[in-house]
Amino acid sequence: MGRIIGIDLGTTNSCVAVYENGKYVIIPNAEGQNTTPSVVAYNDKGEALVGKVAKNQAVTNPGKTVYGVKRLIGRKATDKEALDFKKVAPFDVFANKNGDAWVKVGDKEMSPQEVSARILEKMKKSAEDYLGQPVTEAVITVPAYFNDAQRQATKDAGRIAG
Amino acid sequence: MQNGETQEEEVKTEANTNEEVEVEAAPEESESTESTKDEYKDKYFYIAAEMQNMQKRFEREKENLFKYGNEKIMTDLVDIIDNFERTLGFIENDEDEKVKNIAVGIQMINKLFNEKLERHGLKKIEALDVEFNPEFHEALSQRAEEGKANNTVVEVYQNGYTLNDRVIRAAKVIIAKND
Repeated sequence: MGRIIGIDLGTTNSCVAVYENGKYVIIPNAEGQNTTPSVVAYNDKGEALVGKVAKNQAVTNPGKTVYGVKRLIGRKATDKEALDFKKVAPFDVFANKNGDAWVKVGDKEMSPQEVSARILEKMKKSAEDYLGQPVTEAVITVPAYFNDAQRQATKDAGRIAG
Repeated sequence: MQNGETQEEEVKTEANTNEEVEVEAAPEESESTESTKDEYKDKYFYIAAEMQNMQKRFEREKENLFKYGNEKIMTDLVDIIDNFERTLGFIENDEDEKVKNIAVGIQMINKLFNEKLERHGLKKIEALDVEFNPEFHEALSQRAEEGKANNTVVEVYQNGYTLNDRVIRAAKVIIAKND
């Protein structure tokens, strides 16, 4: 009977809300902001930084700061969108053995789902801190134009995040 | 009279049938009552836990309101401090006596303004010559700087501020990167 949260997993920013007393309430993150930048970075120690902190250090660590993975999630590396994004992204976008678009962060190869999961984890943590109870169910938004593969991949990200 | 008797009998028969039905339904009903009881018990525990969480949350929100309630206005006021500092940067070293006096005046106002805001929890983030920390600093660029270790802040483009230990604006900085 836990609470169900709603996460707007955006390309640039993400947001989490819960339905309470007949209306939705936006849950602020640990920094007191209603939105969290959809940016994930890995520092030299291998720790994942998510949100504003990751964005703040982007200039110093461009190869290991991943953003905009929503453009890659559930897409093949040969898709036009993935190719276009590859041209502008400071990190490497490549095709894994199935031909899916993945990202290379330093030496680590990661799926967009794994990166999105880090963002979802942070959103989930904000919600848990706010509600004071564990959250196990969530509704994650996807754009109306997302195809089956993209929707499935977003669900996988949610599953990885728990 | 006969009619009356027949009606009475009918009523009795109906009553008997009802009793029988009730007796037959009893075991089923007790089972469903039991499950309804459990359901209500679960709901009660859930609502009690929810109430407790809500109470805690209200307390926290109240505390946050006291601590960060004036965050928006503080963020706006910080822009005024920026402009004081910018003005001082232009006129501080002016030769003209009149301008010098104005600079002293602005300095005094700026100091007073800062002191007043500090009393409400506003604090400038120390950035120059310290190690870059993305929690407090926002890197704008990197540049080679002799004698400075990598990742040291070498220039502060815009000061950052915290309000009761929460960053309301990260310091925009340039950091050292010597290959």
